[in-house]
Amino acid sequence: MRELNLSFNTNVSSAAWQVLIIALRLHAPALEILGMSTVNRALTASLAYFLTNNHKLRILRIIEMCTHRSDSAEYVAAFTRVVFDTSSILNTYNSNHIIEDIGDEDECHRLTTHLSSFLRINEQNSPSQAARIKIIKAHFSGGDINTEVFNRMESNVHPIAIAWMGGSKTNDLLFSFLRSVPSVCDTKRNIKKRKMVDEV
Amino acid sequence: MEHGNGNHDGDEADDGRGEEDVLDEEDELSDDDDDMSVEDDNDNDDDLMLIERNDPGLLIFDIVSGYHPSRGWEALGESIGRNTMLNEVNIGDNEPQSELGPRFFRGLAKNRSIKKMSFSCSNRLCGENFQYLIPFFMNNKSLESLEIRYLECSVLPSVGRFDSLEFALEQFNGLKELTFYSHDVIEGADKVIKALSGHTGLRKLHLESVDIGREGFANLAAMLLNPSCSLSTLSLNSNFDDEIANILSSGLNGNVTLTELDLAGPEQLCTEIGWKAIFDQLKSSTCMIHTLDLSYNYISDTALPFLMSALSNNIKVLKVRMMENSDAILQAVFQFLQSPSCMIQSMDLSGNSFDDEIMESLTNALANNCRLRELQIRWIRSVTPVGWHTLFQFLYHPSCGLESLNIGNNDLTDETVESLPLPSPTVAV
Repeated sequence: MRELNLSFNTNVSSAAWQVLIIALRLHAPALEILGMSTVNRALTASLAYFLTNNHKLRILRIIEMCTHRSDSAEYVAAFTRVVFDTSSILNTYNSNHIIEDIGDEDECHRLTTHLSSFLRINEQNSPSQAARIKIIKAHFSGGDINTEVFNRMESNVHPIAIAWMGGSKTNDLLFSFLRSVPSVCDTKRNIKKRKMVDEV
Repeated sequence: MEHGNGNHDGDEADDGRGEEDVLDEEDELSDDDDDMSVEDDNDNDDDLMLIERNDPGLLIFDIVSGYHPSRGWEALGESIGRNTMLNEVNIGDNEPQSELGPRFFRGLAKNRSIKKMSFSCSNRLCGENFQYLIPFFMNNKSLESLEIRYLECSVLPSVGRFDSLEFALEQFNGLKELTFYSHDVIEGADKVIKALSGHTGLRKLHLESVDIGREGFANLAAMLLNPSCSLSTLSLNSNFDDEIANILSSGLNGNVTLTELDLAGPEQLCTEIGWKAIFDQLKSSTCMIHTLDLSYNYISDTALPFLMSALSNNIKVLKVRMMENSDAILQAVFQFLQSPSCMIQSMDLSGNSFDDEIMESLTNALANNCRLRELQIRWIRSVTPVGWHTLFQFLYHPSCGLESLNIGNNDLTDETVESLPLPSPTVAV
């Protein structure tokens, strides 16, 4: 099953939707479009978990979710974490880069603008491109690049990381990075550092 | 912003923009989100700035009802006229006192990038302003789609209301898609159809609630029979009787371009004779129609065999929603689903009178069909959890080829939803 639409079945309780979500996770791994009805806090958490580990679903239709503003904010925060987890590079990389559309287009449109921008990254890019854009946005944007993460890397990983940074058309990111950490390209210093490590 | 007053829609994934541009755009969107109290007028002003600086991020511009451009309509029209990025402009219904008029349209007419334009017309826009857009229609080679909705209008007389549109349509010939809606029954709609005869590249024609009359259908039939006709989609949501059905069937006879035919209408006056005339054309070997919408119609029991015969000629998408004699229609369709000649891949049965027994008949039919991929059954309220369970059991049958199931708007219960995902016997829960 690729599409299952149960929208506007408003008599279904939150508990029943939760049973469905758990079952779909187990038995409908190919689902790309899912339509549901009412969403509350508990259901938001279940759906967020469902999406975290899902690499097929592209569209999630949810109706009547904006009854309370606080619930809406929670819903936006939960789904934003799923699509764009900024807590670490690895978590950003492991975010969902497949889901393109979540929610009710009408009344929640303004509230979900922030989330929509991240969903649009998924929609307009391949999963690997989307991951790249999100990692750059979360961890390497702004004037000064935080080079701490590179200092912790093994020196043999540096060429891979630098090649990754040079993967854009403009190479702006690579230029900014090299300007921030000239030491990474300092071969003599790296040889000395490696010798010190060997001696230890 | 998918809808609203402007659309920052980057349709092209690889549009030559660097990552930083994408990120800047995201930052802009994030900033927008911070202030929930931004007024619509401010949004319009933002869009106006984007139009004036020819921003490639603004592809769609909606002029919503009640909008008042900060620098006036003339300036807005001139800005749109100079813009080379806009793909779509939608003009909503504005108040009678709005100054949306010749000065705006004269400016807009200089635009050469707009591919789709829609108007919701009432009051002065109905009768007067299409003449100012003639240079736009004639010189804008990008224009493909026009959507014109004549709303309720108490100001202008109904006679001659379409004259301006008719005249404008006769001045150019590059239209590929037209949607034409009229709230009132107004004389002269047939002439609009005639004015389309020069648009031989027209691929989609949607006539919604427009009574084009016998003359209009005769013009339509002539269009279909023109060897240069390119029409692939025809929606006729207007009343027709046996005589009109005969006129339409004469147009369908020999047409080899039409692939989608929508005859959904609330008050069709067709009898068995009229339906037979149409269905006989659909079963012709030269007919290319594969998508058929007959929703909201009454098709008598005696006309059903003609329909089934037509369906066997390559119909892949069938919509029979809210049929007046739904019991007979459903049983006939279920029987046809089990026929080897059935090619239907997508079916919409929404709004018909279903009960548990009919659900069981559907399930049995599906079990003997290997082609159906999409099924819609919405707005049915008389099926109990037992009936739904019958259908759901089939979903896990090895022969089930369904890829899409839409059962929204059905007042499903907890019991029904919980029975939907039947555990696979091989997977432990």
